[in-house]
Amino acid sequence: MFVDAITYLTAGDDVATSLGFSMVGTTSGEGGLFRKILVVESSDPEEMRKAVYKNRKKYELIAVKPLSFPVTREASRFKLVDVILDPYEGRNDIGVDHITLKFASENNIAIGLSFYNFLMTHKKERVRTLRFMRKIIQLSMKYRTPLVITSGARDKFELRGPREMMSLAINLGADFQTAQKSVSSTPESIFTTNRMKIEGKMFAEVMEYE
Amino acid sequence: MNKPKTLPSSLRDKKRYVVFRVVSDASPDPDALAEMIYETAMELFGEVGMAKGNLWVMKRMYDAEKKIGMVRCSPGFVEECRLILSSVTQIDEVRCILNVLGVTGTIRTAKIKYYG
Repeated sequence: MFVDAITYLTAGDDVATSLGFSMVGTTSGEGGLFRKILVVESSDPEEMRKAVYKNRKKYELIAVKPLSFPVTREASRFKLVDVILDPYEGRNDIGVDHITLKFASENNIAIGLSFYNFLMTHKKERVRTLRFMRKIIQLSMKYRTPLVITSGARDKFELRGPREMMSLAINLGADFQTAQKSVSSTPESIFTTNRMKIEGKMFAEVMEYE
Repeated sequence: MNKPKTLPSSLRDKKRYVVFRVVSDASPDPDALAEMIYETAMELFGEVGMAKGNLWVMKRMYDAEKKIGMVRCSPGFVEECRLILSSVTQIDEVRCILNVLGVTGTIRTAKIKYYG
């Protein structure tokens, strides 16, 4: 089961289905294979915390797009966050450090990388993007931080197949299993767990297994 | 003796055939498609990378009706080939997605599995 966790699509579920996705997270509504997600963009940690608290029960996935490093650090400690998206964007470094990744790993918060940033950049800017992505992949494998690769598509022609998104991670140094998890089981478990929490089934499910 | 003899099979380069589908509103021209793939590959991996990967767009294998095409490369270059195809965003100003259907070892298998 392949999942594209974070997109900004309003239509195009037919293309997503034909590419092999069974679930697509989008900021603009629910229906079909679309799941409603929230992307919090903030440069202030306190503001980010408030936004996440306020919306946690409404969305199946909450991603934080940090505009400053304190937000990244705070998000990595904050268990209600699901994904820290593109921490390197708008910076001259990778935007995460070993401490952030250790916290994220302990709190089961994934680091998200958008294929869109690779697709829409060229020459020097693309080299920079790939360099930061490679380092993030290397560190997240070392600290066992979950990795999520998303398309970040704004329209249907910016979508790419799951195997193509995996190939980006593989070319940047990830092993096959890590790459596969980043487009399937990691985002899928985020959606499933949060949906169960929202519907109040989480505890009941655990009791059944016991 | 105008040309050298064909190399024995053990000395020939191994090949993989990557079959892809074009998702777009119009069917692109095979020449423009090939040109775009070469251009993207050159931008991503450079001349040496392309030479090592032995990349070749097989224009005669493009099926305009089904919008299915084929690229030949070396076995160690398949992942790179996928990335090249996925980074093509438009052909002749028409926006598109190149979605890889599969990888085969022979043209015959590719024809049976994907063109049939």
